[in-house]
Amino acid sequence: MNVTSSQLLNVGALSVHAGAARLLHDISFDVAAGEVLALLGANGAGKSTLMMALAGEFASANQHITFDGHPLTAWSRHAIAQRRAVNASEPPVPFTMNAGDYVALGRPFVAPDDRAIAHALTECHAREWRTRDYATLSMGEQLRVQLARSLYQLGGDDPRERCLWLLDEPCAHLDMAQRHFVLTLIARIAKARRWAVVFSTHDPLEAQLIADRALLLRHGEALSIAPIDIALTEANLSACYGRPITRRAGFVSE
Amino acid sequence: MTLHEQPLLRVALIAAALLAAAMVLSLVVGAYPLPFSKLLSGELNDAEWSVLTQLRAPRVLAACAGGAAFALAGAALQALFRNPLADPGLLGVPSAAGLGAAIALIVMGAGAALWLGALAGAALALAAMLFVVRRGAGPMAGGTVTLLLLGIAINAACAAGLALLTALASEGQLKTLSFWMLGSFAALDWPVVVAMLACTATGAVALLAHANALAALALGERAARTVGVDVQQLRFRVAVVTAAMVAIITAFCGGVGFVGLAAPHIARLTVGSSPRRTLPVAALIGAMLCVLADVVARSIAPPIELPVGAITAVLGVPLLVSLVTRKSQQP
Repeated sequence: MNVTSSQLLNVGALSVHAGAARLLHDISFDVAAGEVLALLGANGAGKSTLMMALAGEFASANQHITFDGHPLTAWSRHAIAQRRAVNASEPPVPFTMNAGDYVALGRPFVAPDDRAIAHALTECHAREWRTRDYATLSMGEQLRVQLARSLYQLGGDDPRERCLWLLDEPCAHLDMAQRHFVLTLIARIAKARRWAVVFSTHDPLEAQLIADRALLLRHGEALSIAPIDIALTEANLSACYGRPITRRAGFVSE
Repeated sequence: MTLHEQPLLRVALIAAALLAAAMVLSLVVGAYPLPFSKLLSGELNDAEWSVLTQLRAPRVLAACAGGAAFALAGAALQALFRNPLADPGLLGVPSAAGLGAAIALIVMGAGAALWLGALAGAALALAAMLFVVRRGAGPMAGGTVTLLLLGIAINAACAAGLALLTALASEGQLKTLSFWMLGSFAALDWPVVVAMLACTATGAVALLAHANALAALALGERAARTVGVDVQQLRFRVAVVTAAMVAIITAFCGGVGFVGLAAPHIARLTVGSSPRRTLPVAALIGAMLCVLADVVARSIAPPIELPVGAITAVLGVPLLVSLVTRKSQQP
């Protein structure tokens, strides 16, 4: 297999079908360690499906996805859980549980490491909610606790390098300030720990703020995969969303 | 709301002490009272000794095994289905056991036949469940929903079957059947009690071994997979263990309701929602509820025995309601 050392994630000719419907067709791309890839596309273009495929949800897709030199089929459930974290829209927690215990579920099979949990919560500015009932937090606050869960899952205060972090629309419920905080957190961790990050978003400005490269999806096919300035052209975005789009100065604060 | 969970060890010790007290109470109270002082000194005459060893002790232990089994099954299923309303009857096993018992009673008569019929009925429900879980549920979605729908279907079919059978049954058979279906810990021999204890202990060990994975299910099935849980395998194992445990217990002492729902809730209110903590505490509380219910069932109108299932509900409902409302009033 042709894998350069810096490439952490390789996707080769990935297709996903649900019955007769074609959800993803012939998608190929790489993500290097320390690189942030933004996933853009209209509703139904296949962003979440691609996220789920990268998260290993489709058994038939696993042989087309290579992480750190080995196809997903070769990774054990426990080994991959120590190197790959996923944040997607999640159902409400059915029972009363404090945020600290929620974060501890990032590593369910080992005794909770209180220091690592505190560290992960602090990194996401969520330390103060540690003993709060998770269900009473707002959507945005819950999201930050979910991010802390992923940081704890991949190491907490002793972070592993070269991990994969998948985020499906991490900013969907956030105000502008929170959005900025979460995006810069993601970018900072990707660079500092040499993690490969793939995140999907509906806002090209978010991609522009932190992504190194962008993958534009249309009807389950890759429209463009390129460095961010090359990918986010008026022509590409117009084709991606199916209506004319012009670029102006954005509202995202630096 | 800030949560104040009690330490597991303290709650477990208190629950164990209360259970022990309930067991002693259950040994001395009844149609033939055994004074506590005599029990302590061991100076019992032959009649008292035989009451203690042949009547009281087996039923106290049977109540412990039954209560603990229903509570464990309820706690595990609530975590598995991510739903605080789940109870051991959800998978249809107790009602299938009821139908099997009814058929055996009408065809072969009461006694061991009733147990065999109940076991056969529960085994059939279990087999149907295994078939569906193995064949039907894909990894994507619907696995748990499929299991739930199958349980509803089995419950409905068994209710219909029972309704048809009651038209055929005689008065005496109807009375035996309805009494068995509401549950009783009376008249169980030592071999049966030992079997129940062994079954509950095995189930407890098996479920506790999966407590961590069950805890992670609180995140949702997909997130649980990403932190390393084999959700499909977990679903299969927990369904099989709880169904088998409930099947065996139900066959011998009938469908003692409400313990499986109430005990896990009471446990969660004291030690929090992690199955690692809920499972053992719920087992102790379930055992205590059943022992107390059994005491009440045989001391309200001796020598008539009231159905234990009715008493567990009468005891458990106010306890649960008061705990739940007290908790929700906190700021």
